Amino acid sequence: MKQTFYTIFILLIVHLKFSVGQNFIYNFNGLSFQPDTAIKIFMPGQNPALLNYDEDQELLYIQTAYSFSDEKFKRYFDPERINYYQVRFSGKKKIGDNQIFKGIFEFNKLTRKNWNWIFNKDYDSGNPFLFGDSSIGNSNFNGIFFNANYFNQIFHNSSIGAGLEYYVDEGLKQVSPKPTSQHRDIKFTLGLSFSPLRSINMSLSGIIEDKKEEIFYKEDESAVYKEITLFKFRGIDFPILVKKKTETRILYLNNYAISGDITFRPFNSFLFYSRINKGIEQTVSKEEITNPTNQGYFQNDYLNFEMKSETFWTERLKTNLSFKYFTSSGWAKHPSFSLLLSEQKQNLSGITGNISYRLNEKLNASFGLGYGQFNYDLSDYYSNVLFDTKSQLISLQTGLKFYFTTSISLETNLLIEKLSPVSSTEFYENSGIYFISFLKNDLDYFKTEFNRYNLSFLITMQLFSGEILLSTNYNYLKPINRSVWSNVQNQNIKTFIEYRLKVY
Amino acid sequence: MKRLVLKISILLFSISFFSCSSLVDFEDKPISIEKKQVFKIRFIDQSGYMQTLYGSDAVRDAQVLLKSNLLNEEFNLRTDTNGVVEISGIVSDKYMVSASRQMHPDEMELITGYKIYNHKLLNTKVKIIELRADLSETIEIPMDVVIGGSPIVISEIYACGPPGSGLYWHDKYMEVYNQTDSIVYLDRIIVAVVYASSYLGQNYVDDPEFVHSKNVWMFPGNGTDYPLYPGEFAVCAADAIDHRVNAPNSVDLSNVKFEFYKDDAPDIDNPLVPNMIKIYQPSGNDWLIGGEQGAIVIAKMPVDSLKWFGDQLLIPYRYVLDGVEYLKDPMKLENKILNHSIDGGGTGGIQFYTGKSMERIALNVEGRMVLKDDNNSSMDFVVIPKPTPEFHHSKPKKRK
Repeated sequence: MKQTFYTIFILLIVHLKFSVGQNFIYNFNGLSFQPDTAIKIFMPGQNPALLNYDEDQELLYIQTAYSFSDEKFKRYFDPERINYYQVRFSGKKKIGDNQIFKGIFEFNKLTRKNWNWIFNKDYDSGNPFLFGDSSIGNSNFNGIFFNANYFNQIFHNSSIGAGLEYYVDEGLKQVSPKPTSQHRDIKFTLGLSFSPLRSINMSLSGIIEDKKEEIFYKEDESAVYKEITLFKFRGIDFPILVKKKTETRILYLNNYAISGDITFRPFNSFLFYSRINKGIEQTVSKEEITNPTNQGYFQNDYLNFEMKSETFWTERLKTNLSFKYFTSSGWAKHPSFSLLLSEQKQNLSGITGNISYRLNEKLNASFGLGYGQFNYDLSDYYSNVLFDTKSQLISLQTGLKFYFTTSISLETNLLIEKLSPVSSTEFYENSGIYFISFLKNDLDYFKTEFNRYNLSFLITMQLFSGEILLSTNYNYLKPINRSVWSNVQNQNIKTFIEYRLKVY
Repeated sequence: MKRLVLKISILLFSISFFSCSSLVDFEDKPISIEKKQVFKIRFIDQSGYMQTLYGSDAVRDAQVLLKSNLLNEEFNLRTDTNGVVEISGIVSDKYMVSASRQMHPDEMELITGYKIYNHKLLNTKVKIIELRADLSETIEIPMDVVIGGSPIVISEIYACGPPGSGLYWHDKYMEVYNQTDSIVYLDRIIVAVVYASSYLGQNYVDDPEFVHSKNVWMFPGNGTDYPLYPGEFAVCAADAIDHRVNAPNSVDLSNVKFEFYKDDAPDIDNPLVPNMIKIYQPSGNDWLIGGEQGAIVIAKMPVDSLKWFGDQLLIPYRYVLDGVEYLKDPMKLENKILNHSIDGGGTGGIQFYTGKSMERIALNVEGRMVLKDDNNSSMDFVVIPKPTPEFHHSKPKKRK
C-alpha cells in the first residue's frame, strides 16, 4: 500500500514543469515552486551509484505521452504552439544481489508551430549566438533517446555506478528555406556512494555532457525565386542580416558538472536529503564545415543546492519541507576578439512545505505552500540593453487521492501560482531597427505579473496482470496588468498512458 | 576482486572529473567590454603637402566614411586639426574606410606656386581597418595624393537572372560610365572577368602585380570609333535582345551599345549591336560571369602586352581603370578574389533569380552625375531591386 502511495506521488513529481536542474532559466512561464510531496533521491541527479534508491519497480514500463501547448504570452522566439509525442520503454532489473541495471528507450517527436526566425533547438539556453532566417513556420524534430544505468554494490556500505545517455534527432523547418538540423547528445555519468553509518549515505557523481547541433541551409529547389535573409544574433538586438541561401552552423555544447548528495535517515519516520550540483557549460558556435569560423563563445557557470526533509509524524500525517537555491552566471565572448558582449545572472531561491493526511483507508488529502524569489540581470553591451528584474512567486497546492477499490485509485491535484515582479530597471540606447518592434515586448514579458492554474488527474488501475496509469495535466496561465499582454492566455495539456507489467 | 574493481573505479573517477581542465578548453572571461572603447583614427599625409602647409603631417579637415562590414552601419566623420577622428559606441568589427581631403587650389598655390585643381589626398593603401574594443591604440592610416580618378568606371553589374522564369540567366550585363566632362573613347578597352577556382584552390587575390583571367574581351574600334560622352552609360550585354519576350520580369537589352557574342558557340547575336571582341574565353557558350559572386575589371592596355600564366592571361594592375568585386556574402571579405588595391571591399549579397542588380552610388543627382569611386565596392555600390541598363536608379528616366 505504502509503495503504491509513493509511486503515485513520484509519478506526479516526474511531471513537474520546473526543476532546478536546469542550467539556465529563460522561460518564465515554466518558473514554478510546486511543493514537494515526496523526496526523490535518484531522480534529481540521476547518480547511477544511487540506483538502489530508485523508486521504479522491477517492471517493464511502456508509456505513450502527448502534450500540447498554445502560448500567446511568450517571448518573440518562443513558438506559439508545441506538440510533443513520446513512446517510451523503460525497465529496471536486479542482477544477483549486488547489481542493478536500468534502461530507457524512447522515440519522440517535437513540433514547434509558428516559430519565429530561430532554428536553434536550444534557443533558450542563454546562448545569445542564435541562428535562423526571416521565415515563420512549423518545425519538426524526430528523436531517439537511449539511457542505460548500471549499479554495483562493491561493498556492503559502498557502491559505484555508471550511466550513459544518447540522443539523436533530425529537425526540419517546413517552410522555405527549409533548413534542416541534426542533434547528437551524449551524457556520461560516473558515481560513487558510501554509507559510513547505517543512517547516512553520501555520494558523489560527475557528469560529462557533449552536445552537437548542426544546422544546414541548402538551396530550396521549391523556392528558387524566394529571397532568403539569414539572421545571426550576437545579442538581443542588432542581428547580422545576410542575404544568402546556403549556410552551415555548428554548435558544440559541453557541460561538466559535479554533484554531491547526502541522505540522512536517523529513524524510519524522518528523512533528510541534500544535494549540491556545480557545473560549467560552454557553447561554441561555428560556421561552415570545411573551413570553420568562430561565431561566438558562451559560458555558463551554475550552482544548484537543495535541502529536503520528510517526516511521518503519525501513520496518517506526513510533512515535506524543501529549500532550493539556484544561481547561474553566463557571459558571451566576441567570436574574433577578446571582448565581453554580454553578461547575464540569475538567482533563484525558495522554500516549499507540504502536509499530507490520510483521512481514512480510501482518502488522502494534501496541502502545500511555496514561496520563492527570482532575480534576472542582463547586461547586453552589444545591444546597448541593460535590464534587471526581481520577481516573487507564491504557490498554493491542494490534492486529494481516492481509492475506489484496492486496485483503482484517482488522484487529483490543484496548483495555483502567482508570479509578481517586485522591481525592475531597464536601459537601452541607440537601439537597432528590430529592438523597437519586438524586443521591448520581450523585456516586458520578463516583468509581467501572471497567475497560473494547474489541474492534474491520475488514475491507477490494476488490470491485465499489470498496472495501467492514465494521467492528464492541464495548465492555464493568464498575465495581468499589462497592456501588451491583454486578452492573451497560455494553455497546455500533458497526458500519458502507461502500462506496467512484470515480464522478468 | 572487489578491491580491484574499487581501485579501478576510483582511478577512472579521478581521471574523469578531477582533470577536466586538461580535457576542456575553458576560455577566460574578457575584461574589455564591447562598445565601451573610444576609437581614435589618425590620418597621416605622406605627400608632404600638410607638412608644408601646416607644419604637421596630420591630415586636417578630411572627410571620413566608416562602414561596418557586418552591420552595414555608416558613420560620416571629419578629422580635427590633429588629423584624428574619434568615435565610440560602435561594434567591434572590420570597417571600410574612405578618407578624402580635397586640396584647395589656394593650398596648392602655396605648395607649388600654381593653382592646381583636382588634387586630393586619399587612403589608397589602407582601406580596411579593424576596430576592436580590447585595443586602445590609435590607428594610423596613410594618405597619398591622387590626381583625378578613373575617367571610366564600371557603373552597374547585373548577374543574377530574373525572377519567375525558371533558370533563365541570359540577361546579364555590365555597364560602364564616363565620369569626366569630356569624351572618352571605349575603343580597345579590355573587360576581364577575374579568375579564381575554389575547387582547384586557386585564388590570386594577393598577387602583387597581376589580375588573372580566363575571360578577356575588348571593346571594338580603332581608337575613336566608340565615343562615350560625359555622363553617358554603355551597357555590354551577354545577349542584346529584349529578354522580356522569354522572361517577363527581365529587361530589354535590344538597344544597348555592346554585346558579347561568342562566335565559336551557339550564342545569340543581335546584328544591330556592335560585338565585343573576344580575346580569350575557352569555355562556355556565352560571356560568363558568376551569378552570385565574381569580379570584373576594365583596363586600358595594348592587347599584345597581355602575358600568359598557364591557361590564364595576366593584366598588370597599373593598367586597370576600375574593378568591382561582388560576393555571395559581402561580409566574408576573406573570400575575395580581387586585389585590395583595386577594390578594397565587395558588393553583392544577391541570390540567383531575384532580379536584383548592383549599381554605383551617385554623389550628385543634378547636372552631370558623378559616381562614387573610392575603390571600395562595399561603400561605392548599392544593391537595387531591378536592373537599370544605361540609366541610373536615382534618375529613372533613361539617358540617351
